[in-house]
Amino acid sequence: MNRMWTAVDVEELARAEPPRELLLHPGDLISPYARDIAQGHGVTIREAGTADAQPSVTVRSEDVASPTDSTELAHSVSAELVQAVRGIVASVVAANPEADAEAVAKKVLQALGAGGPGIGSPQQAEPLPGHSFPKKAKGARPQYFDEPGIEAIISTLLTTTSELWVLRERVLTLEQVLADRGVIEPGAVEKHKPSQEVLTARSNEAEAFVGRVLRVFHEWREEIVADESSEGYGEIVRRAFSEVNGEVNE
Amino acid sequence: MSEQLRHGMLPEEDHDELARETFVRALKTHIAKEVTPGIRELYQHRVLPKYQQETGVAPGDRRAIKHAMEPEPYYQLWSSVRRSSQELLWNSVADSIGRQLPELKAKAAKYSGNSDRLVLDPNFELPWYFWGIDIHVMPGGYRSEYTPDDISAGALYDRGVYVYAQGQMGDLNDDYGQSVVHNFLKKDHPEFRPKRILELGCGIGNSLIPYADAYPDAEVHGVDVGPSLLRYGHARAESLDKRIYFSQQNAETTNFQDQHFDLIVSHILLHEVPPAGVRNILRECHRLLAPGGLMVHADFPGYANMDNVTQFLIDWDTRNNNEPFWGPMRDMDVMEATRAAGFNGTSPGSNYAQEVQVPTSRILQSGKQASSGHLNLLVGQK
Repeated sequence: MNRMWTAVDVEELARAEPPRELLLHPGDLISPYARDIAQGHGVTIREAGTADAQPSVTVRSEDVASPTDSTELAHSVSAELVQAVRGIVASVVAANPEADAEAVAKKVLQALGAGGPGIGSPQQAEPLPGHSFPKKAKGARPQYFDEPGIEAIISTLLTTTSELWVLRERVLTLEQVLADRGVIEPGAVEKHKPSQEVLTARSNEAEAFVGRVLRVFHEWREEIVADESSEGYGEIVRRAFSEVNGEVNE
Repeated sequence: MSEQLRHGMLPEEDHDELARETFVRALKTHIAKEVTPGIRELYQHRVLPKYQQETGVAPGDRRAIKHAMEPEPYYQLWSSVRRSSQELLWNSVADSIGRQLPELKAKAAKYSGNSDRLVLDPNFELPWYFWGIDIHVMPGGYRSEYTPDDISAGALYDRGVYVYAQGQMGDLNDDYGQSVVHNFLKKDHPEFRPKRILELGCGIGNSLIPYADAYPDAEVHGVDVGPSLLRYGHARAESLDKRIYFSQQNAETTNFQDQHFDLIVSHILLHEVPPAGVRNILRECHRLLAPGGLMVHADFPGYANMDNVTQFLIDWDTRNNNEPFWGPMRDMDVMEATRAAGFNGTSPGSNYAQEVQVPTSRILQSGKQASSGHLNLLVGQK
């Protein structure tokens, strides 16, 4: 019976008396997190059956490609892959008996469609049509939140804030230019005392402004009051599609 | 931030472009000074006690700390904002450079007549480690070209680094070169007069110019993988009246003859190359150095003597800032690699390796500003 070792198992071992060892039998799996925890706690992971040749190996998750799926299926697929790659290596060596390890590796990767010894494609980042440069560096962008939309919101919000600053700086520049040219007094904006009439108008405009920015609350309230639901919307669409073939479901 | 020196190649921002750069600098400063310290507080006040309560022990290394921190909303938001600020930085500068690309190319063309000082290799084979990830999230990386005779990666690097470093690398982004020349070579080797100097991974040559100034009789060479960087660097150096020989070469296997150089340097190159590449570069330096010649690689210190939380904070860049070799280099025993490359003597003067720390004025993003203004020099004398 194979076993899946988790971080909790490792933490239990970490509290045990030394020697703190985890014996990994053939077919056993250990999560990448558990491997990390093991190293952090000084728990040695020993591969059963290799103990005589290698007394102990501490494995780091960054050094090995750990299986991330605990199912038997994943295990048999990776075994198949290993076999397939071994087959390619054997035929490359047979065809190039003089090649050293690096040359063999290069040819094997080419045979696998990698096009060379690099990771990913050797092509440079390309801009979208109509753009001079790419907006994104090559290399997958990390995700920090469970919900990827939050990354997008933060990125957009920071850019929007940047553009808000650009606008603010434009106003500051304008004030400075006007003051430098004697059109207004330096500090005229700060000293400006709006009339009661202007204050009222601005107060109204500010409320309208906030209303526009927070429009989503109005939308949600209207939806609640109107008892609108996605089911209701879906029902209309379903009914319309059902009319395509001339059938009307009344 | 003081104004960057307006050498003949520097891109010029319009009002709004400059405002965008001002914003992104302010954003990065704010993150470093006001937000990043919160990561240490989060660890001390919340994550560490919780971890100890659940497991009975403290996280044993930076990886365990990372796993414990990742579910924390403060960590997530900090990471996401940091990543976005880096993307905003490059995109703000790139938009500005895109607008003035024709003018910049025309400026570069004025200097392209001195073609014996710029040698590009149309058959250059890009090392595998620059294929899949553009270093420090710079779109296009060091290697890309988007127009004939492109100089955009060079312009992007020159201006982007200045904005990134808040101008603290000097008016010519030359702080690292200046630090090695004046805080190490001129102090520890005052009689040293190199005849030929080589910088590996020279980029736009920003760190190399201080050597041309300090040793005016020397022949100065720089090699890099990026054609756009080299074209820009060549034009930039010529506009500053510096005579530097740029060529497109892999630092692991250059085409120079054995013992050709008296001084070989690099600045923040080693952490942009995987460990096997670092070992090859060190061996190449040993091959290229004349007897008695010096090799100086300026980079950041290894993780070995740092506490786990500092390691965790610094190592953020490895996964999150497109710096895949940042952590591996810091985990690597570079002194051992240097000795293995042939600098294995036991006393100074001949085939001797040492590590030296020199001060710089640079502020890093680790949240520990006071102690981060140092460069680690990996020094080898043949």
